[in-house]
Amino acid sequence: MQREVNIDGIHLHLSHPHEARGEWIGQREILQQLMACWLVVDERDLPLTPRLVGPPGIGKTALGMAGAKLRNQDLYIYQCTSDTRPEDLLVTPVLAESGKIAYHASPLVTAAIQGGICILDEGNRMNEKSWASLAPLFDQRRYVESIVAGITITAHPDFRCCVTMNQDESTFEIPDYIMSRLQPTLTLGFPERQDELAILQYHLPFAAAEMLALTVDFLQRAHALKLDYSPRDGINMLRYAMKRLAQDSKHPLSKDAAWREALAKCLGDDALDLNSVAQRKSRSLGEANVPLGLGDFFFAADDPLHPDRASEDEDEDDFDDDFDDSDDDEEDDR
Amino acid sequence: MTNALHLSDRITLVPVLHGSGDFAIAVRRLMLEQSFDCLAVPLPPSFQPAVEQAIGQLPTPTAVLQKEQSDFFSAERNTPGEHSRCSYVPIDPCQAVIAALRSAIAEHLPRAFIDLETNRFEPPTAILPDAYALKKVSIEQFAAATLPSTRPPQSEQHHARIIHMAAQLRTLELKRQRILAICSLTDWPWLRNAYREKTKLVAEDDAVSDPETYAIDPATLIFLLGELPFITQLYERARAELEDDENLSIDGIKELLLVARDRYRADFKRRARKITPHLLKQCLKYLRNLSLVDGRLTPDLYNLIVATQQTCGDAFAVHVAETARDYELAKYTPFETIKCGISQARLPDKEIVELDNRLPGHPIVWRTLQLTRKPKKPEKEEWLMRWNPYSQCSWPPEDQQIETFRAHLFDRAKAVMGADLARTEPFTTSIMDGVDIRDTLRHWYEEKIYVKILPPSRGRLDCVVMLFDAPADPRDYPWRATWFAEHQEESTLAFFASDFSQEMVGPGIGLSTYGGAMFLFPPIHIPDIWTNRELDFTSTLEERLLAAACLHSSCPQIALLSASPPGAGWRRLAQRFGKKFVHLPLNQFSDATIQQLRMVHVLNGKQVRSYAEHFIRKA
Repeated sequence: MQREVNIDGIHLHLSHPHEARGEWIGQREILQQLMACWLVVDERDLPLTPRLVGPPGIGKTALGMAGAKLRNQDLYIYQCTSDTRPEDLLVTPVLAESGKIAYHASPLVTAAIQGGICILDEGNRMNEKSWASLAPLFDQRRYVESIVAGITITAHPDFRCCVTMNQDESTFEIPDYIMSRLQPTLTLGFPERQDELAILQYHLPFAAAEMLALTVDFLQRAHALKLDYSPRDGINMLRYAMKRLAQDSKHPLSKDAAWREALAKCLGDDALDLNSVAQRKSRSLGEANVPLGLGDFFFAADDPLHPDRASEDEDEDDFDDDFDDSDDDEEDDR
Repeated sequence: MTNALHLSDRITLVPVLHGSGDFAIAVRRLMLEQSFDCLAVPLPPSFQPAVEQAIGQLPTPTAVLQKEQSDFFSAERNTPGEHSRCSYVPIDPCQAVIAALRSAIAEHLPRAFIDLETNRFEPPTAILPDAYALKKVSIEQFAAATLPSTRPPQSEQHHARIIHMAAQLRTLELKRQRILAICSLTDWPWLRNAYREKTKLVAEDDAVSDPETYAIDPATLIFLLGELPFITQLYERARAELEDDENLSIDGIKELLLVARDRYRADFKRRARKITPHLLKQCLKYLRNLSLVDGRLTPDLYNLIVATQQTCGDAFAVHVAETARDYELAKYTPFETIKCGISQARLPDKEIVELDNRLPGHPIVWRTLQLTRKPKKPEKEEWLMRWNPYSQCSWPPEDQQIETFRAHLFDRAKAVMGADLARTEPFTTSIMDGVDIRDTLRHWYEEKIYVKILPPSRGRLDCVVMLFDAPADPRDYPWRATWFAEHQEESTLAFFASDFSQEMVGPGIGLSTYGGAMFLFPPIHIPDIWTNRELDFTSTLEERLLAAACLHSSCPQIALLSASPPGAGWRRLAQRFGKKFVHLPLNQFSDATIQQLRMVHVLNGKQVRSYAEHFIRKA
């Protein structure tokens, strides 16, 4: 592929596309929503640039990568930081060996030129000044101006972009005129049990099934309690546990002990005591009904006609099962 | 009119998609353009009196239910615990069949109900295209385009019904000259076949019970109507006021968003996010794409709410959901009321029955999403009654958020304080704070390198005052308090805010909005600023906050976040204490973020923290 282009007499060196492509497991709906953002129906139509938000480690970047794979386009990832400056985002002048200045296009600008997909990772960390330089790229103008190189770069019609942001991080720096260009906001939730198991299996195909099951149980219970333990935490924890198991082949650690150690070391001691968190919560909530969702607009929570009711009952069953699991797991281990 | 719809010289057979306003309009137009002397509809004759009486009640939608008669066999077939079944005709103005009957009754046209009487109705299932295509193509083209995907009747009953309807049409044309017959899109080719081939009847009418008419609980109309209740209401309004209703399936969505926006603004007032035309445009574009990706041309309720939630926030989406559900034209009817669900209903005697629609449109797929409805008044009152006045605390995620913001404001204010001191100069001996590449390039012809010098910022800050609403009306902000830090990472906080007891959002959870706040970090112990006599010389809430800031801050400068720069009065106030304000304009920050920061949830005791997350939704 062409790695250099000439725009208005300026020679631009382009970045390399990102090679690694992961699988997107479960949560088809949010992937479909991302595809909807990037869909255009007419030459005059413009794609949307969504914000992908959610707690760390939930798969925001992976979603963007999956979107690029689905559209079969080159993927470029730009990691934003608090000291990212407009020229880092667009075109950076570099002193070449000849003593002359060479201009290097950022992954974002490369994607815009080549018609690829760019993920602006951790966009909330970037300051207003840098964001302001992107304002024309994300509206009907679809170009960026590099002050350093003195050129205007028009985006390819196939250029698509998304921005990932951590939900808990501050986004104070991003003013409204930028936010209004970064619409809609796609919020990633925690995966379902089956999907979470598949995600862990995909990343750690060599992990023992019972360890996977333990981890998924733990994560699902944490999700139900609205604790921010993500699939990435689960992967890290399992990795550590597997390493501990493999460390000393003469005196192997029991799987359960390795798993518990990994839990405490990777996620902290709080993670060991989910049961008490759950009990505290159910005690203090009393008999009150936790709001559910769309169905509540039409029915009382205990109405047999409530369409969400069946799934709620199942959830409750799951929840109960989870608490019984500790016993079951012990039996399994034996 | 081409010949495609002509079944014979005397019969025009029009295929329709049930539950679609676009088809209802198309049929109405056809009836206006041509003259007919009879209307034949695909419903059994037993429904005729009740359906025609219920049509007289429009615009109030009703449902005509026919209970399945239980005989020995069906009683055996029903497993214990299974609900009894009813078939029903929704008296929905956006049903083409109902619209046609309504016009025919008004024109005194004879009507014929030609379907087979069936005790247990088996609704045919099919995946159907979106009726909005009718705006671009004629009914004939629409029907022709769906032909390849139309399956032959799957059940014996469906087959028997089609043959029966064909035979009835043959009988009818002996008496009438210009018959308009309406049938479902899925039956159309097979009905034509049966008519042409004169297929022999294969079933007789079942004995059926008398249909009964019921009014519908307004909150659950959405499960009965083919279009959203709000859109149905627009169709009815256009009919009553002779307005244009040609494009309501799309324009109605736009109107829905505008009405929801008005209600949202009225509800949240100044706390509301700005739903700008640009934002609505983005929302509609996204909604269009979501519908297209789903294989539809017009949005369904789920996509509508997903799109509004993801572009304009939860609180606006709640208003959209409520507006979409609204149907204000319903009036009192003499019928008893039932509550509808998905293919289910609760009769006035509390019995739950399974429903089969005689005019089935698109199959209903229920998809839920996390969106908390607003609490109802009795719930709010109960929560307020159970409030323990001696226990209140904050919600830690909000504390953390506003503390991060406070730290950020300190950084910004320090940058403002040090901004004048930064400079660039030609490189001599030290690279100082890095090469200033921009100035180096700018002076490239000089062949000199320029370096940046960022001297350490002078002074420090320990106090910030945030004035979100200035001038503030004291009546809006009756809750004034000084809170002390729970730990060393938290500031001492004095604020004035709206009354949380007026807005209960969950059991033991109240919502208040900051009007203004003062943060002192690191935290120190101060007397309550709202009762401190030393500050009684001030006349407004903002002045009191500023004066308290000047009194308790140990630094010469105080960061002030407000919409406009401090006026002469406030500057004099600061001078009196030997202080100076560093102004940070409010509009430099994202409006949506500021609105979220202003919302503060008050919890009735620390135990509430464990479940507060379930109830708290940000605007």
